[in-house]
Amino acid sequence: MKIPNIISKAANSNFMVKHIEKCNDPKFLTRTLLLTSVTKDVFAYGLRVHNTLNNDSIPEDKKQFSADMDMASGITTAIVQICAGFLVSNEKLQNGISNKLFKSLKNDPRKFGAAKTSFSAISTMVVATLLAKRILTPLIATKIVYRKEHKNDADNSLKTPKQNINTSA
Amino acid sequence: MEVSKLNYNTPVFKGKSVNFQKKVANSFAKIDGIGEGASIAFDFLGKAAVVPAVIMLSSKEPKEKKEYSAFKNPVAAVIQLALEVPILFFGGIGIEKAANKGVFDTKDSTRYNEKLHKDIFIKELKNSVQEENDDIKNIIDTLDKKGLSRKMKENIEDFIKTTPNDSKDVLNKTFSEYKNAHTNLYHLKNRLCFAAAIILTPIICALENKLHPIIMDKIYEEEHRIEAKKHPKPKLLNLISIEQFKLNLQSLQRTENLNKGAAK
Repeated sequence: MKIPNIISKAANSNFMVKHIEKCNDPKFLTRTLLLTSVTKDVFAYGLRVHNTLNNDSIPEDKKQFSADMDMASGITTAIVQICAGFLVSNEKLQNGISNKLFKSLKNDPRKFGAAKTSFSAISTMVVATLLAKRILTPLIATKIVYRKEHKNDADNSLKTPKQNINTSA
Repeated sequence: MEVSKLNYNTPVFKGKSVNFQKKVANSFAKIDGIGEGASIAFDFLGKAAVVPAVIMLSSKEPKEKKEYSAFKNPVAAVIQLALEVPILFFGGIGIEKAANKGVFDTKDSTRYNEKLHKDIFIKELKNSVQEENDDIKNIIDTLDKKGLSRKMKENIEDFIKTTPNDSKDVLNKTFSEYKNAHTNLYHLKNRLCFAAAIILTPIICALENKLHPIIMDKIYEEEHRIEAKKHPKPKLLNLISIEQFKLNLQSLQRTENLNKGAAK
């Protein structure tokens, strides 16, 4: 089967037809963009962890830290982005903001609708892609990795006195 | 102007803020086609600039370790952009051409064939008047050159309102089908480009994995070079002169002692 035929079948499948019809709804469109972005991220982070661990040209001491960082980032980014994105794209919140921000367009329903759709998508992407994914995610991920890396230190510091006692005994 | 009609209670800044609000509202109303392209742009911006800054500021790891992880993101962002933008651009063109040739048409539906619906609409548009006027010529020219933008949709809808009643229904119907085909094709392009980006993710990651150590090595080499320039190693010539200085000092002290002994 040729590629155009595969694409044609996929494009005319019930799922795709319904999905594209739903894309006329600003909330659905925004959330679709959010989920496609999250899917790409999670997939890329997963592969990056695998590749980093199998890459011999990266020094050993940096390899584990880099892989842990990517794994923690991948898991955190999915959770944080979906939560933030769904919260911002909430219809009530968007209606409230749009009614205040686009007061001047209330007499022109076409323009008001267009502005509302754009604002919904952009605000969701700014909050999810820039704030949640790029600021919250690294903050949380670095904390997780730091704790994991220094967990052994804490364990050793607890074990050392006991060992000393044993030795002295 | 009557003085009584002036509103003294309206502060100047209120007027400015209203104007600003209007500008913001109009700007948002003009934005058209937010899709995978916008998503890629936001992603690049965040990955290339925000992530490294956050890692460097928040991580408590040693500087070298942090740098290694932080620099990984701009490298990944550039590779991702270099691969995803051509996919989106050329992929989009390819899908559009295929759709307009009827590759995605079925017996029951032509929902992605924008050209077909455009031709039908233009034919009806020409039929709606006895003689082709400037308005219709402008609409056809703009559709050919710039495609169906948001502004164009509004202009055509306004134009249809001015046409005779007997052709209004047909024009509305054909234009609605044209708009739907345009929107359907746009969303299809976005979804297919997303699928292509997912399929290409292993290549992007593999490239990143190859390029990352090379770029990091180059960065560290450059850093060491700058560091070496700042704190140069003592040269052999300097060592000789210092030794010579010590010898001179000793001989001077000896001469001084001899002089003191002679004086006594």
